Parts: sequence; structure tokens; C-alpha cells
Amino acid sequence: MGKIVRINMTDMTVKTEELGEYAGFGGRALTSSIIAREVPPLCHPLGPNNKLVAAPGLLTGTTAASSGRFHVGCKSPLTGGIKEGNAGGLVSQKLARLGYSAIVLEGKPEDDKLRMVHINKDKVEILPADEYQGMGNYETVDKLWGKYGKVGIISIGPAGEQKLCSASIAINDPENRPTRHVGRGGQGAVMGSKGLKAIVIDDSGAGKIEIKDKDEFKKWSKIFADGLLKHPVTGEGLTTYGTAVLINIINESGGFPTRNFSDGQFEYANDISGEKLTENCRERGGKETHACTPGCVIRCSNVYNDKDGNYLTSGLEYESIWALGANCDIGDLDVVARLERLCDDIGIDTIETGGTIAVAMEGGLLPFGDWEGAMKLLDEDVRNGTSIGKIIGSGAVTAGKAFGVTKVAAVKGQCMPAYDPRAIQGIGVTYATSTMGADHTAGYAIATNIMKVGGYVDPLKTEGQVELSRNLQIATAALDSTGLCLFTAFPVMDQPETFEAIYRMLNAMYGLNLTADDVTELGKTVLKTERDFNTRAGFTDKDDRLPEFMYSESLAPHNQVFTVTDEELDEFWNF
Amino acid sequence: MKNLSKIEVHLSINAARKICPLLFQKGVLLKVQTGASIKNFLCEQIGLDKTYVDRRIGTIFLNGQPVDDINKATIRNNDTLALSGAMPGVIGATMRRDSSLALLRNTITFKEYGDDAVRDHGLIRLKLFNFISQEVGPLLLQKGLMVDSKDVINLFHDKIFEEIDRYSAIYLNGKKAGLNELREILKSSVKQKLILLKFTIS
Repeated sequence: MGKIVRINMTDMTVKTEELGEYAGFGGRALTSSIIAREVPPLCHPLGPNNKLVAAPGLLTGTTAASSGRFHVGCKSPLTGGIKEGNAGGLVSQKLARLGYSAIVLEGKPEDDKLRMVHINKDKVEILPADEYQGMGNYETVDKLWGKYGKVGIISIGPAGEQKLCSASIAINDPENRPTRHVGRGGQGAVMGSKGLKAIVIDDSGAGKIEIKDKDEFKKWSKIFADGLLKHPVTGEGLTTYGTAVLINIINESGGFPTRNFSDGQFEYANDISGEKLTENCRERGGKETHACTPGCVIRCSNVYNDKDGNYLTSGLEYESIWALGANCDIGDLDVVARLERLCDDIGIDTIETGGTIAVAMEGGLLPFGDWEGAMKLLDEDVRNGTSIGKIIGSGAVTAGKAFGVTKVAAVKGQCMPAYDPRAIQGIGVTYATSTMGADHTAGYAIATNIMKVGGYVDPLKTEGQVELSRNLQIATAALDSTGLCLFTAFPVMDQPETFEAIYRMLNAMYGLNLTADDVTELGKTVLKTERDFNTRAGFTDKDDRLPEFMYSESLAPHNQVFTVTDEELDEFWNF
Repeated sequence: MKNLSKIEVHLSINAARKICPLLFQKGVLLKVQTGASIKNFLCEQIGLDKTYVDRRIGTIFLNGQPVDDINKATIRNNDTLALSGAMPGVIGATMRRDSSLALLRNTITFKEYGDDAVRDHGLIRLKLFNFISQEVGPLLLQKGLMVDSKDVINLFHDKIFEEIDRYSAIYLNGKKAGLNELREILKSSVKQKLILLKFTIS
């Protein structure tokens, strides 16, 4: 087990300590435990009492495939509740190799100066960073690599510096592109509130991660990697088309939110599909497959070039294409890629931003489909902090209030992702009950038929969506604690030995005797910890609801409204 | 040539695979025997191997509704059938045939099973996505398919066709023609709703 480094931005001190009461936790389990225990639930998210906790997963830094997720948590300025988000990139493995289980940013400086933190094997330093003020993430990481070499970088863009509620935290990828984002919930604003522009992680000279039983670990990590490679989703589908392969499928299902959740199908879906993305990547000298983290065998990322073959963006994925495309009535993949690039550079969540621009379009600020207007909103208004820019950067709910729009697809203040719950009712249960607000990744890991968490749910039954969503959320919370990418969930669902490999690797690494039941209990503990924080922050069952219009406005083509009752939703927490 | 009814194209398998997404994402029209099950359509009418259907075509929509039992679901005149491989994401997994997560999409799942479908000949719109487009598409190109004329115009104006043109041969109603000639004729045939496309793949 590693150490915790506490960086106090009030008195500019650094303290390193053992994990202590947090021993055995990693990733989301660690970030949520620290937030729940140490952050006053009623504190202002941008004030000195909030903390920003960053943690690798339990398996991060080892040779376990696809285990390099970087988890960040805080009290969210967007939702007012607890938040955990994670991303790939270079940082997590480097931090783990340096022996750190978490970075905890505390306090708040009394001046307006901008600072950065530099961490290497010898020390942790707080340094001046005014020279990076107002800089986009691309220029920031470029300058930092120029100064410090091939380091891992956590950074914020102008949106984070402005403390906007949609601000993200960027992580650089192996090519030093700031394209991996802890996007949801405004965690970039919390980093900005602490006056921190960047954290640089240099693992030069760091030792290897300690593993108690190397042979056993090697055996199970091979089984795990083989499981990912032989599965049709992780070994072929994601590798070939990336997550954007879903666009045609969700569109066909009628659950692809279009024009601010007004339709379930987008007539130009073919033009922004995974197939189109792959074709453009191949033709223009980009990469249709790309690993966002060293050691990832799934390689679902991509490198997208413009028509002239010049790099435009990387990691163009389903949610971003939907948010900045169909939801804003923009059916040109090149335009969507440019909008996504702007979001990465400014440091703002693509899902929330697409949802917010769509609300602004609904409210008449600009017409649906006005991509030039959308570009201007981002590049001029949000980047420079105009009044309109601050509204757009503050999320869909704020934009709904500013522009008098009642149709705002958000739960607990967070905009819904790319699946309409009126067509796919089960995801609505997850959106409603997640501790994170509307979050498609909250109920992601599939455990039901292997772990039988909370009992087996018959897929042919017409009831039980709440139970199924609960099982998914429990399993996801556990997986999020390991540092493994959520996409490993699919082989885990279909191949029992791949699931077994996860806790076998943990046992071999830490000398433990975990079973599948222990993994389940970990997931339950994480969810209950998060729920408890939210309750103390003032959330009640009434916050576990979808927005009003989803119960009354039917969605074409299936002409459905959301029909899961409040009583059924309230059953979620009965475990 | 006012009545452009049939276009034949001779091309390589690689070229065929490149144009498959252009045609099959939007869908093509196929003459089928209606009243038959989806399984029958795939295996008997198109000629796909049963094992291929079971292993590769992991996700099927009939008129936008995810289908679980392809032995029971029957196709009718004017239906839209979409075929895909197994998909990522929790919702991708939810849409799979016989998914353990099928409950999550219960309200849109295809349930209109019954024996009342008329056994006759009819037209369906068939969409192929991702791997299925690449693997099944070339087979259908060779069988021949009806395509909306505007989609045919888009197809032959796509830059992909310019790339493969020099390796292809085009026949209009049985007479050899160049790509530019075809484009001109297509412009003057906009009133025609459907065009039969047939490909010879070498």
C-alpha cells in the first residue's frame, strides 16, 4: 500500500502520511472515503473546506492490462453532492510507481496567484505558475513537457481557472495531448479554486510496484489480458470502431437524444457514426485505434485528423459526438471534432457542454444546427469568460434558468448522457439513483449473472429494473476501485475466469484472500458511503427523480414516456 | 437514357467493402419472402451460415425494436431490419440478443410474436452496421439490391468511388459506361425512385 500526500494550498505545506484508516482502498473507494470522512457535506464546493482527491486504482502501475485509470473526487460544484470521475492517460501509473495512493489537495490560497505542483521520487514542491495563466490545455502541456520532459500532467484550462461548474481536469496521453478528461461534475473548477493550474508527475528513477506473489500475479494477469483480447467487444469491436460504433445502434433503437432530447433518432447519424469516424481516420492518416494509457490492450481511442491530414483531436468518442452532434443538430463529424478539440483545450466537459448548448438553442440564443455559433460560444465566450460564456460553462441547469427553458435533461444538476431513458428505461433508473447525478457510467459493470449481487434477475421479467440497476452500480463501484477501465466489464460479464482474474490479481498483489463476495461488499460500501455524504449534504429521495418532462413528453419513434414509479425508484437503496 | 433501371459494377473485394458502409448504414431494399422468421431470412433467403448468425450477429432490430428470439420474430412487408455485431457499453450490451440486461430496454423490446404474418413476397429495408456490413455486405452486393435513387447519386459522387473508379467497370442497363457518364445520367434520372444495383466482385 502506498502513501497519501496532502498538499495544503492555504499555508503551502506538503505532508506525506501512511494510508492508515484508508488502507485497502484505491481509486473511487479511496476518493469517496476521504471526501465522505473529511469534507463537511455542507461546505461550499469552491471554498477552502472542500478537498480534491486524486488516486490511482489498486492495480494501477502493475502489468495488469487496461489498469491505468486515474480517479478524482470532491464535492461537486455542479451537483452539490459527492463526485468521482476517472480518465486514462499517463498520470495514474506514474503516481502509483512513485508509491502514492492518493494526492489530497486541501485549503485555498488567500491570493490570486496561480501555482503548480511538481512531484518526483525525491520531493513534492509547490511552484509558481502565473506564466500559464489563461492558457489552453494544449499549450500548457506542450510547455510543461518542454520544461520537464516526458512527465504525466494533470491540468486545467481557462474554464477551470474561471471556476466554471462544467470545468474538467485534463490528463495528457502518451503523445502529450491533453485529451483524457475527468469531465463530469466540475472538478476542474475545484482545482481552479485552489489556485492550481497543473500537477506534474515525474516517475524517473521510481522503483517497481511491490507484488507479494509475482508468479501468481503473472498467471492471473495473463488470463485477464487474454480474456480481454479474445472477447468480441474488447478484442475487436472497440478496437476497430471505438465507442462511436454505438451511434448507429442507439439511433436505431430510438434512444439517441436529438435536438435537446426532442427526438430519439437523428437523421444524420450515419454522417457522425463510428463507421464514418473509422473511414476518416484511415483516409487521413489518423489512427482508428489508439491506447490512451500505456498497457491498454483494448485501444478504443483514436487520432482524428482534419481533411488536410493534420492532427485535430484524439479520443473522439460516442458521448462527445452525441453531445456536440445530434443533441445540437450538428451532423458533420469534422465540425464535431473541432468542437470537441475546443472543449479539451478550454477544459470543459463535452457531455455537459453539448447538453448546455442544446438548451441554449432551445432557448433561442442560437438556432439548432448553428455550428459556427456553437464554436463561437466556446472559443470566444467560454474561453474568455464573457457573461454568456460563464452561463454556457456553468451547465445545462444554469442555462435552462438563464434562457427560460423547462426542458432540461438533468438529474441532481448534471446533464444526461447519450441514452434517452424514455426509450431505455433501465438507464433512467441509474440516472435517477446514482450518487453522481445523471451518469451512464455509474451502472456499467455487469455482475448480475456472475456475482449474483442481490439475487439473480430474470431478464425476461417485466419488473426488476431497479434491482438490476442496483446490481450494476454496486459492481461498477467495485470495479472503479481497481483502476481497471470500465470496458473490461464486458469480458467480465461473459467470461467467468476474466472476473475471477480481477480478485486473484488483487490477492497476489497485496497478499489477500478476497472472494467475489468481498468485491461485492466493497461496491456496496462505496455506494453507501457516497449516499451518506449526499444525505448529509441535503439530498433526499426527491432528488432521485428524472426531470418532469420525461414523465409527460413522449419520445419518438417509440412514443414512450418514463414509467418507472417513484416508489420503485425509492426501492433502490434497500440493501 | 431516360429509364435507368439497373447499374452493374465490377470491382474488387476491398473496393466493395469500402462502399458497404455508404449503402448499408442507411439501408437498402431487398425482395424477401415475408411471413418467415428472421432466422429463416438470414440463413435460407440470404444464405448465411447458422453459426455465423449465432456468433457474429449479436444485435438485431426489427422496426427499431431490439429482437431476442430470431426464430419467432417474423418479417413483414415494409419492415426495417438492422443487423449489428455485439456492442460495447452497458446500453450496447443491453441491446444484444438474449442479453442478461434485456430488462433495461423492456418497453421497446420486440414482442409481436405470432403466426399471423402473411407468407408472400415483399420488400424490406435492410441495414447493416459495423462488422456485419463488412462481412455480409459484399454477399448482398452480388445478389443485387434496390437503392433509393438519391442514395445511388450520393454513392457514385462519393470520393471513395473516385478512388476505386479506375479499378472498376460500370454497366448501365447492360452497356459499359464511365463514372462521369453515370453521374450525368443519374442527374437526369432523379424522378426515378429506386435503382437496382448489382455488383460483380473479383
